[in-house]
Amino acid sequence: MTEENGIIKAVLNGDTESFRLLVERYEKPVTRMIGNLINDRHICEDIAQEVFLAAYRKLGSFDPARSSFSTWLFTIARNRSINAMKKRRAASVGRPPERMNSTGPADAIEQDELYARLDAALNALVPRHRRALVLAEFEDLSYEKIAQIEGVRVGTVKSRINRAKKKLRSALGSPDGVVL
Amino acid sequence: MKPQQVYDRWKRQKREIDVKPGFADEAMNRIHTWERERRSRVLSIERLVELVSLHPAVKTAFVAAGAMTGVVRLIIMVIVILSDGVANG
Repeated sequence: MTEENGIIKAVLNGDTESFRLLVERYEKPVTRMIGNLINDRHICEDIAQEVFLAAYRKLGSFDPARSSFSTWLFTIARNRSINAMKKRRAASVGRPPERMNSTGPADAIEQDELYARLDAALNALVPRHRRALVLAEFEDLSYEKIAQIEGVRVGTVKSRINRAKKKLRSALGSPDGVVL
Repeated sequence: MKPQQVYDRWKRQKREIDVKPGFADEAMNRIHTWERERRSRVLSIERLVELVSLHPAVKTAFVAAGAMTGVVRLIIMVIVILSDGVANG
């Protein structure tokens, strides 16, 4: 993105405050990605703060010819999340499922239960499968970008996402034919 | 409810996240603090390591200089050993 490269140039030329534009643009996706990876709302913002500081410190090594800024930033976030997960085993309690468009209490209870099952299945995924699913499904990143972030081939990303979805499908008790 | 419907709603819920107000301010404060500390230790070892690790060309130059120093040291040692051998024998 040309505009982002302009901001990066300005920061590297000493205009530190311009970095705020990048923080404001990416604070939500980065925090969300970390939150969905480590499943701990208390520390995900802290880790996101560390990600932005690390990005600022390493900005000189960012090469726009090799990747976009967002891919580079997500790679830092991915690495920090892995470190955080190594330090602690994430508690398996997610955010309480939100009730949306429920037609009645019975529906809401059923929906809550299904959300809880999906949360549990997501938490039980192998970390590399979970990362691939989170980046593809919650961040809408392309397979190519995910492959760059993970340092693997596109085929590997596809296979990881398929495996993750298969687990989620079985959590819903859904047959393989359903899209997901 | 159909599984696909449940999955889509769950996904939408996972995408919703509130970042606390002032997140960017806190991030910028951390950055400014780090900048101040960095400027106050211009000649420190940490700064040197940081400079070397951030610039591939400088890193290469350091490795090349290290390798050259090793080779020169080796040559000097060989010369010293040989000259000792000649002087003694």
